[in-house]
Amino acid sequence: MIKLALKEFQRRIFTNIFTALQLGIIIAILISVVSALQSRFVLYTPVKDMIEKNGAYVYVNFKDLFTEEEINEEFKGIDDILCSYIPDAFFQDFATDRTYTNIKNLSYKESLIESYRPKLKEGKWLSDVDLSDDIIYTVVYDCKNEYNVGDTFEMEHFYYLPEDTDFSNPVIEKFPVKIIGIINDDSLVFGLSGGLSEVDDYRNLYGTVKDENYSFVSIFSKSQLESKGITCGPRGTALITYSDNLSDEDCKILTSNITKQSATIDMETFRERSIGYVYNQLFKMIPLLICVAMLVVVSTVSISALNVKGSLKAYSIFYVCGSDRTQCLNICLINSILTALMGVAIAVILMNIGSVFGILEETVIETSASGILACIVALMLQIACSMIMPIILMNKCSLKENLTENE
Amino acid sequence: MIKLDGIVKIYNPKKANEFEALHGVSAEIKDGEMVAVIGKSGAGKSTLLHILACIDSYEGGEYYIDDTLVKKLSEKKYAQIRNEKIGMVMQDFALVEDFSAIDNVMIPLNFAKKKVKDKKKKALEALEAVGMGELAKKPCNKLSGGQKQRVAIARAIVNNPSMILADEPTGALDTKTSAEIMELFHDLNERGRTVIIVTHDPKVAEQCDRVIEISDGEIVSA
Repeated sequence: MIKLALKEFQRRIFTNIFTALQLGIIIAILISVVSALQSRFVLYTPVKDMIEKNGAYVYVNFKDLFTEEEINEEFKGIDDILCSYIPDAFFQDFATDRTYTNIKNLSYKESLIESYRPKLKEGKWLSDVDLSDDIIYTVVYDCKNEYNVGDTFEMEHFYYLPEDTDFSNPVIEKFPVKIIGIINDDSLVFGLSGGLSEVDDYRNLYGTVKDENYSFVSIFSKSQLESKGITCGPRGTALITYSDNLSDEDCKILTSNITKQSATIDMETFRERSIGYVYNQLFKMIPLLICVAMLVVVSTVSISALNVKGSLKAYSIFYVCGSDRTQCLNICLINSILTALMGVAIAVILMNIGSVFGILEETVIETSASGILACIVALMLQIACSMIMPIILMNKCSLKENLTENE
Repeated sequence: MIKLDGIVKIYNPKKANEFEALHGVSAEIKDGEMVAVIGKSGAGKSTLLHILACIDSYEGGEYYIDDTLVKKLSEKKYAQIRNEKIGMVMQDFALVEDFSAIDNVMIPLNFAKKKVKDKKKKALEALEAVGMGELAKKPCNKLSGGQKQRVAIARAIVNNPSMILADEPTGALDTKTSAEIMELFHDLNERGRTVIIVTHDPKVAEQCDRVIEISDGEIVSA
């Protein structure tokens, strides 16, 4: 029966190619729409949990307070800080290279590494490697494009021994650092934001290398640096959440205390502005989503009807020759699956052509799990329609009509 | 042996356009008989043939093939009877036009419940039996009407069924080709197969052992 199904597929190859082409285009559209939708919320995901709590949006640059522990000690009641961390006295060995004029080193907590992933030109993100390895991993931006994934360079950590009371003789410890990924020029990097302003929402926690004219940016894992004895302190725009057991009054006092040392905006205002932006983006997408959903349904149903109608005479002949309805449907199923696979192949080719010619790099289009899920749903719909359609059409007409009218 | 006992066929039952095509048709056809079913258009000939071919259902009465009550069979068993016991030939050939002659003849072998060894060889033998061996690989859409009907007959006999049912098998053919096709049916009948031919052509009917005449859904002479 499989041979017969393959013959039937081959017999209708041109219709099947046309169907697959249509499916391929639908898949490409779905992936694009899902990407567009996700791109609007991808930066919101890492901050989503934080902004739902009590706290404040703060520019962290406290006098005499460097580490998170020191900050927590000074401002009792802080529960968590979402911020980028500056590694203390940790420099690239090419720091004297004058062509790198604006170098930035950042480190992130594991939770941020898991929930956030900047757009990479190549390589992996920190969550893709084993951070318990001995070598320090980094993801970089390099304005000169001299470094590649897999390259290593040295970082120097300066510190003083307790007996060095006049700070005249620092100890320099060298660490090899391996580049595992290269950040895209236009990637929105957490912690590369400028200052804090009254109109900020969650997007202001991010910035691009271009915004601040950085020539070299290295992003590390905070825990990996700290395991090597390199202290990291929060710096820049941050979300600070308060302990659940604080009363509203305590929260106000804590915000007031933080404001004495740095600019703050209360979390409620920041939350309203952030969620408002997210909903605004979602509403803008609704007409497009409705159109795409209609396109998917209408085209899958019409594709199935067209395809099945063309095969109905053959199915009727098979029935006369001794197949039962289940066998006819199985032949139909094999045809639909083969067409769907061809559609997927066409979509992959289309996306690859987009990548090769750099078309996709200029857009937010990328293949994500949600995009693939949407495509699977569309393909399942197409296959289901192709299975239901012959039942409807075969029952609607007599066998004689099916044998004569569907040439 | 085929036995029909009070077969009633109703199209669109319980609907405004309900139509009773057969009103209690009863008949017996013995093994090895060559029977013509004649009647005017709309008399119910094709409906009867489709019921005999197990490709259409019926609302009343009983239909037995070799003492097996067809009504009680499961869909799979029903399909098995179509595949093993019945060979069907249609007026418009009912071939998959883009398939080659041999691919068309192999269709019943693909649905055979028993494992068929060397399907191609068996299909080729069936084509040779109807004089189409040399055109086995030719797509059906490149064949003449007579050649197509021979392919349809080859397909009908490939599984060695005991019964050949033909619905106006010469209806779309010229006189000479019709005679050749009828010759093939005679050959098949002489080899022991039951042949039932639905026709409105008296010349075809007179070549058969027995004629069953249907009028307005009833057998008027058998």
